[in-house]
Amino acid sequence: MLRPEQVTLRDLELLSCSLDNALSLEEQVEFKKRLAQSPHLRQKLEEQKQLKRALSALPARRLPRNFTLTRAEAQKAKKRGFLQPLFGWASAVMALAVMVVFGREVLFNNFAAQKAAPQAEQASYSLDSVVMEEASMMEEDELAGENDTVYLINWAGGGMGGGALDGMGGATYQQGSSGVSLNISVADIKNAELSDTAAGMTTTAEGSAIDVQEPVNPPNTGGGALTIEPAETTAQMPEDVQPEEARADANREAPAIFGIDPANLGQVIAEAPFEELPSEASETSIEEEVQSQEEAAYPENALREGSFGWVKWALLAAALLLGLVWLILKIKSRN
Amino acid sequence: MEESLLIEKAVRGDLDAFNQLVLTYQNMAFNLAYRIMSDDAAAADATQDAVISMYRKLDSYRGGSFKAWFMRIVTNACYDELRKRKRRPTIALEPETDDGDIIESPDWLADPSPSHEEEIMNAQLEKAIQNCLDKLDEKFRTVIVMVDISGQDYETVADVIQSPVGTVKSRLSRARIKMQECLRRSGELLPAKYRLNAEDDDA
Repeated sequence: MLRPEQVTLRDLELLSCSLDNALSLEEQVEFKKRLAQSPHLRQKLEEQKQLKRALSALPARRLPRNFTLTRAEAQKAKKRGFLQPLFGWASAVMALAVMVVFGREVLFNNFAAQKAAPQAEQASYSLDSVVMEEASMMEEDELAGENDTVYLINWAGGGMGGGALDGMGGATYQQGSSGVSLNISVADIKNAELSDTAAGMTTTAEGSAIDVQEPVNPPNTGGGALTIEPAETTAQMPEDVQPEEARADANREAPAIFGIDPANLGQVIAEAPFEELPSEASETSIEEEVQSQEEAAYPENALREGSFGWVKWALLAAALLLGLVWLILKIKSRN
Repeated sequence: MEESLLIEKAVRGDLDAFNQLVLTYQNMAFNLAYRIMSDDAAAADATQDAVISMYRKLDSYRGGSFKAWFMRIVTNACYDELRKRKRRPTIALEPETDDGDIIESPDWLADPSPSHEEEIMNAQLEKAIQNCLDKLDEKFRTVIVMVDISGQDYETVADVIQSPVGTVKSRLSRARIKMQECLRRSGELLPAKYRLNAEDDDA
């Protein structure tokens, strides 16, 4: 005999299902067994049967009218149903376009910043190194009283190795089928007879060995060892020339290399006198100058940037406007 | 004409076929709406909204029981209407005492020509049942109305509420227990013949 508190939710669920003849055979057996054990459950069963009878006996309500649609109502329903999704989709597409445009801009800017940073670092490093090198050379001048010597180093991909022009640093050109061709010229800038003092070095075709060649009977250093020997200066500085004058002379004549153009290997692309070595302000002016040169060279880029900026804001405005219309239509349709 | 053929025509845009389907199910739809909303006017509005909504969504009908699909739209329309009413509560048009208390079952609402006492008692029982239905949660109310009042099977109800049959059984069991408890409390207002648990009370 089950007490009332021993009737479980499972019993009540079986009881409910039994009213609708929705018990499986196993459930029927289980429920009959529980029913036989519990008078409380039997009483519940009777009560629920009574409830079900009362509910099913409720009279049906009479329809106040027919709910069929007229042609006009149907057209209105379709029209209303057409506009809301249209604006919804349009706003979604616009929002997507805005995301693409802004996302592209963010990605592009980040990528460009990452790419530009090493270049700027490299540029400043080059400038600093030139200054340091010059300072070092000046010290050497003061100490040794010798003329300054400039080392020109050009490099390029395999088969494109080239050096300084003939007579301008003793360049040696070697056609390589693969690997990297590396030419190093050591030249005395001030020397009028540059070809006599030049030294060249060329890799082999496979790029595995590096030879250092001297212009006159150059001995092969062998073993791939790289040795660079500055050429002897042939033009001695007069003894009466003071170090200050010598430095000024050097500043006036010695070039500084700012970049290497693969298409013009062996040629000095740009040079500036040392007294005009760029400070921070002049670096900025160089950047501005480069930018203005780029704009002058590619005016369509500047034009595209301007129109693109206008388009992205127009897209954003359109997305917001369409979304607002969609929201209004949705609220109206709900009310 | 077969229902499937009517549905096919309605999906293609045949308004007459669509209206034929509406005529078939509007009585069930309106009664379901009335039992959920407990108000004729609100039930009529919800049914009309459901019909319009169904006409718009015909393209999205993907087969299955059309009746269940329509009833689902009706119940959703009822829920929307109930939520709107919760946001904008209405003032009951019932007389109040001088103290502001609402007078229940006022004389001016009584049918001036009651034919039989039994009809009056049935009306009172119906009112008590409807009051108890109103006190149930929507999810319990929908299930018990569909099974016990509309006479739908568990599978159809599961299709309407988009839940497993087990959920329907569980909700129905709990709804019936809640209804029983509610009617027991209000049973004292009814004559003994109409009390659902008369034996229990007598004991």
